[in-house]
Amino acid sequence: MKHYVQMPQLSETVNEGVLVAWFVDKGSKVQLGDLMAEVQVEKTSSEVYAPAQGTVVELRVLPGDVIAQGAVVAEIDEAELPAAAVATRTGTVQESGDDSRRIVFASPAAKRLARELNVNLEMMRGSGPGGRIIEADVQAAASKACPSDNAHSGRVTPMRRLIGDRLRKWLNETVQVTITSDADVSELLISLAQLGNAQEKGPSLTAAVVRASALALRKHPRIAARWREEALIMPESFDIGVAVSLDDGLIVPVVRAADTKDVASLGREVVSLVERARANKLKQSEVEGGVFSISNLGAFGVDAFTPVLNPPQTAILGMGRARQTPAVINGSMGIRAVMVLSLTFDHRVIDGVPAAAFLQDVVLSLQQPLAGGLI
Amino acid sequence: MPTRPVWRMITDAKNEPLCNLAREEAIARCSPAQPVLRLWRNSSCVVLGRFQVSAAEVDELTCESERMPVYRRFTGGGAVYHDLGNLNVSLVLPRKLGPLVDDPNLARLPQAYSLVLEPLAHALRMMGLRPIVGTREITIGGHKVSGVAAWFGVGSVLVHATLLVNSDLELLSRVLNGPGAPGNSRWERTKSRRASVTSLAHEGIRDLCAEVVREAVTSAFAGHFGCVLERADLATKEQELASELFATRYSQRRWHVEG
Repeated sequence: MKHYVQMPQLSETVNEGVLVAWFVDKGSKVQLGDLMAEVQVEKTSSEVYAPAQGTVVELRVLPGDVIAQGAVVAEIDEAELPAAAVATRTGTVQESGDDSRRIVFASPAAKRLARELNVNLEMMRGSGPGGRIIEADVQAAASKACPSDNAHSGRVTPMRRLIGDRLRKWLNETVQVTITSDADVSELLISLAQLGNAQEKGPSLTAAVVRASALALRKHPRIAARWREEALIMPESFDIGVAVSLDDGLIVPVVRAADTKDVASLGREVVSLVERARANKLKQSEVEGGVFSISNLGAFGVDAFTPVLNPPQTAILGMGRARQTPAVINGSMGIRAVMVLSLTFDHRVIDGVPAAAFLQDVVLSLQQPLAGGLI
Repeated sequence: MPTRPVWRMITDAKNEPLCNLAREEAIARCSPAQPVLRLWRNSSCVVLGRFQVSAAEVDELTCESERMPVYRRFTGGGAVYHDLGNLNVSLVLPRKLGPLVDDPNLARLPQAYSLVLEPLAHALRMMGLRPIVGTREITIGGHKVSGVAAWFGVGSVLVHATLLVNSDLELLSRVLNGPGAPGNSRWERTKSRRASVTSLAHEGIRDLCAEVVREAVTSAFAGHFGCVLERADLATKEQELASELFATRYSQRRWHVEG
């Protein structure tokens, strides 16, 4: 069987290109994917790869020749290969014993996926360059073939895939441990409400936790260290990221020097960052350089969770909801607003005891907002 | 906790053209796992496109008198003049991740050029200029300030551009003043398109420092692609390939003369 090597179809505005160089000779043995030639189409150079294994039996053009996109520039003969191997090969113009010719132009990844999903490529028209069949085409074809599966499946968006890849990478590279503690925020909620007025609500619990964390970080700066392969970078400023959910992902804008701001200022700043994050109006500088992060799922009714680190940061604090809970206060029963705080930290950087000490200081600050200087 | 996709940003500290050209090719050929934005500058030289005819593109006498070396890159396009007043902006995108997956048409021509031209133009707007983005260049007031070229590999696509910040435009026009080679089909297919040029300094952006321009370009790319740019150096395999390419290609006179 012969395979024809074609001039790639790269441009929609220029029909021709130049063959710059051959990297094979007539008679060379090539493997699928071997570099065969270099071409130039307008201002772009591109490489041409062997579409099949075999022997180069003809080079139809010379370096410097002007060639139409899609034109055949070489032939590969794989006659020496076993029949079984030939039967499964795709990726070029194939000639069989009869007069029928079928063109299958697919990426290696698409071919691999087609085999896995049992998709026939022969009648497909790809969406890649020059009609090349790419993975997405195979996925689409497989979905059409299995409507019942399709009804239950959702497309993995590139962003979702990136998030997944990053999370898996981070989990592999760090040693994440989570500890939790209850914080009685009854007094704090009253104090925060008192900071508001008829026109403006008081600062949020998130703002209070940002400040409590920043104050505790002053005492425990190693919690805000950033892990680099060459060194541990200690913080110069306690810049705290606040996770904001987007339609398909998260963004973590950063409150600068949070330990130097009062809770009312932090409240306004957090609101502004969240609004601009959701309007996609954050500047690049506003999402960089955080040394510690806070994630609040309390607004969604979550009691407690294990937040995932945001490397190279060392720790992240998760906020649950402030729920009304029966509690014993000075020997008598009462109802208190209690919030679970979950601190996930990288055990490579700090041990459990200093992490617990940091969390304890955050809890104390929240429980005694006036005495502790939080408000 | 996931945030925006993280891209590598490589800012080369050295201005040595041959090393920089080798590094450029190495990054692209290694098909990085994540996109790479590279900002780099060369000391004074002319850089030809992959298949151009050297003697036809440059004024050899001027190059000789100005001690201006003429080198060759591995991407297509025309001859360009480099000096420390020119910023080179390179974008390497893996085919299996990021913008080329979101929009496969961006791996076609001429759309691929917009991957760099659009954010570059945004950076110029941030500086108060009014750039016009063409298919293959950016102009200001009808004068070219940025040109582009590309390379398509099996695993990645490289698009790179020049940005004339405060280059010596007079010297540029003198060295890129080759005699041409009428009748030479290679030259006919690859000859540079002569264009009137300008620079940011020429357009009234005074007191430019490289850092400010780099910051604007970085910010524009991060905003355009919604990514976080994390400073990095070449990976080990990229450095190894760069060394190999330097030894076997870019340090060889034959490559630059004949291609």
